Amino acid sequence: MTRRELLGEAGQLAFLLGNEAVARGALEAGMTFAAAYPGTPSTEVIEALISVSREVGIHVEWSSNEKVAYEAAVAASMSGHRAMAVMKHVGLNVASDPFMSSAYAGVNGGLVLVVADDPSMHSSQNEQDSRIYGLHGYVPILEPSSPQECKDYAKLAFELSERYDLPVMVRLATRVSHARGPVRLGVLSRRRVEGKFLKDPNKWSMIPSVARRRRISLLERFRRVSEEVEELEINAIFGDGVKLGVITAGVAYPYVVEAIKLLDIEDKVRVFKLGMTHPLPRRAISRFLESVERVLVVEELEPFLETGIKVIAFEEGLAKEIHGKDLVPVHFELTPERVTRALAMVMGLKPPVDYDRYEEVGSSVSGDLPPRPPVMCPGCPHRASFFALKRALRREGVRSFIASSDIGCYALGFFPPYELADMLYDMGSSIGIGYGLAKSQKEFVVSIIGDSTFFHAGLPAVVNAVYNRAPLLIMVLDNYITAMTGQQPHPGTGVTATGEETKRLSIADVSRGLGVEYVVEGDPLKVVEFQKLIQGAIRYVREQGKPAVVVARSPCVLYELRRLRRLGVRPKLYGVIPEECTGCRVCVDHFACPAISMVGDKAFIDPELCTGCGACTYACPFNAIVEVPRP
Amino acid sequence: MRKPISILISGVGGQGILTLAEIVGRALIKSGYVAKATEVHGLAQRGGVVVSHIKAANYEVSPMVAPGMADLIIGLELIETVRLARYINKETVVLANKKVIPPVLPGVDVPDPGELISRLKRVSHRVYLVEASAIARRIYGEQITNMVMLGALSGLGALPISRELYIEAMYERLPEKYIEVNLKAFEAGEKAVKNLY
Ligand SMILES: Cc1ncc(C[n+]2csc(CCOP(=O)(O)OP(=O)(O)O)c2C)c(N)n1
Ligand code: SF4
Ligand code: SF4
Repeated sequence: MTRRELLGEAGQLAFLLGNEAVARGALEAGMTFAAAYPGTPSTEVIEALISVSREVGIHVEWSSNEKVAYEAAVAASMSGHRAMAVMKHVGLNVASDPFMSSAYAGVNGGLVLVVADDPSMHSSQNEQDSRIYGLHGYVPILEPSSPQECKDYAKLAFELSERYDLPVMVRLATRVSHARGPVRLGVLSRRRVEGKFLKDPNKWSMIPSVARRRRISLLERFRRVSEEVEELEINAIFGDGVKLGVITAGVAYPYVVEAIKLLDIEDKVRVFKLGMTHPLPRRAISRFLESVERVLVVEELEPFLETGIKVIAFEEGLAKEIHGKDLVPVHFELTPERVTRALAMVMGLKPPVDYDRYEEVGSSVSGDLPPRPPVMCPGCPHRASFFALKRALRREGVRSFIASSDIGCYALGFFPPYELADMLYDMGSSIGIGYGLAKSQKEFVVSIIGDSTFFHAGLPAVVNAVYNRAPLLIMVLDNYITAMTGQQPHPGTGVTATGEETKRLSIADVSRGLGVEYVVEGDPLKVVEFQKLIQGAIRYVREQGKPAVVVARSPCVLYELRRLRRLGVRPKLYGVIPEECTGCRVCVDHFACPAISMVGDKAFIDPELCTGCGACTYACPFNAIVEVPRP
Repeated sequence: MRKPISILISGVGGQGILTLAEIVGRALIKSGYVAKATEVHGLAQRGGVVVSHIKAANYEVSPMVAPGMADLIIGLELIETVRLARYINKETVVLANKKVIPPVLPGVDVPDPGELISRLKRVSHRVYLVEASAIARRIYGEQITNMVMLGALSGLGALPISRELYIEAMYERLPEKYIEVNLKAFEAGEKAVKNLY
């Protein structure tokens, strides 16, 4: 099992996910403090560390958001720990404020930021190339290309961080984080530190006079990296062809290797693989440019290397043909065919396979298949909340309204029949944008936000809505955990990442504490009662012109089923009494639990799918849905 | 070798595709290859599509399979097997579980198994069908369908992996208390393909 391999002996060949390999590398480096907020594709780094934290005696936490996670890691570094913060690309937007200061101050124990990009937006609201933050913040960047390098570079990152007195970024991407491959394990570190902070305000306190000195110092520290990167072994040249020079890094590298093999051009190509992509080794790149006839830069997302290399070529007076984003698309993730096509094009060859033909045949054979889009699980409490919310609004005579949604499973409320996501930007934006809408136009506004997201970035926006007084209905969908990223606990769960019991923050209490005067809490699965709670809040908002909070408290059904399984309890089951069912389709068309479908002209509940939440009993106008025994 | 061994495993969330992919990947490494596996799957919700890509070669391969380049498709569900048509060429071995799981969407027309199978046969000469879910149910429950498919794969001999190494990889990956029932599934899968050729 992976956990066993994570602590495997030196020399062993393990089969690890890139993210797990990063965790192993950190353990080999003697990292003793890790903080993170979950986010695909970065989550497994911390989950791997959690699985061994007690055994190896390190601190691992889910923080309330990425900014706090990064700050916690900064502080642990100040105290002498080798410390790590882990996040997805958009998490770095949230952490960018402390990130920008962290290079000014530098480190005590090695400080490593692991950030995972999600090109193609498999589970994100945008694509971002985190390397641009490294450029902006004068933070060196390592880009592993395989699980082995994930381990090796994670370890190296701590050493470089201490050597240069700078934080170091390890930049991952979906196909590095989520690729499993062989990893030859190294020696686990036994380094454990007590943690001791030595006062040095001239290093750590960025008042302007200090910050000005640290800015100069930062440029000097970074210059030293720029000098020494010329000799760094992880920047390596393969092959000795002269027709084409390929410069590449990270996730793009194996695609390049493969394309060269498929096109059978090994003797014509020379590859410069950069392990560190910021700063660039200026002299080594100049020599490389001179050694080949033309150059192709292959990288995922933005032309980060390409721009730097073109600047070098210009400044060194090297008139070279340099290709990059003209041949390798800037949007979405790389694929073998994208890279093979680019290499074929620049070499004047035909791709080894007619990819387009296969795409065509493929779509003629499978194009009309029914899709299988993500839907909220059968029994998801969010569905009941949506159903109750829409009914409550109708009952209160609110014909048209605006639903400002947020990031989490409930974003699926975007789709019919709910259509409760008129806008969706970033975590916490449901309330910030909902507030702005309530202030800037006349229609009724409801903000829909999850529990983890509420703690992450919802709080300041609630404060603003109270302070600047907006008629805003805030629905917090509290399913006890961070569901979308795989059920991580958060401040409202009552347990820490490593399973210790801790204070459970009540969202209702927190809202009252923030000054919201109308706060109610209920169980959305009891749809009718819950709908009445919402109606009360709607009336309050309209009459008083102030924000109200409604907390829907009911566990994520996947989490609940797991709990029941542990207790050995079988979930309930509901069924349709055919004689009572009039075939009105309300349960299928408006409630839309995937366990319910029409069989002929009667509704039918699939016992394989039903999780026994019972919410649909309220949706049926004829009381045709009842609890039945599980066979 | 120039062209890497390219494998795709597809199905629906909950069918144990990632475990199956990990075991195949481990067995490839034990057989001396550099193997990589990656998956594309939906969010936390149940019932989404899961596709796992596995590649192996004697060099640092990328984890993704290109269109038309699959050597082997292992399909745990027929709709999701046909959805991979773009990766299939005439020589691709398609090993599919004869099972349709209708998408949980109201009002969709679910194609029948016969139609799906004939579509597969249109793109590949080498389609092998196994009643893996039914076999798994007979032994223990559908949870072990993935290991019936692993056994079928071993029985077909579609990959340069010995039976022993598949089993070694199973031991490495599966919890001890479930090994026995999973071995039964494996053996049943092996047997199921023996009468296919
Ligand atoms: C800044 C940022 N960090 C992390 C994520 C990844 N992410 C997407 S949804 C989500 C949390 C959802 O949890 P919750 O609000 O409780 O809703 P649920 O999924 O449980 O319904 C996270 C962490 C993100 N999109 N943006
Ligand atoms: S994972 Fe949980 S919160 Fe997400 S859709 Fe399923 S039941 Fe709902
Ligand atoms: S009780 Fe009704 S709403 Fe709940 S899971 Fe079963 S069919 Fe779906």
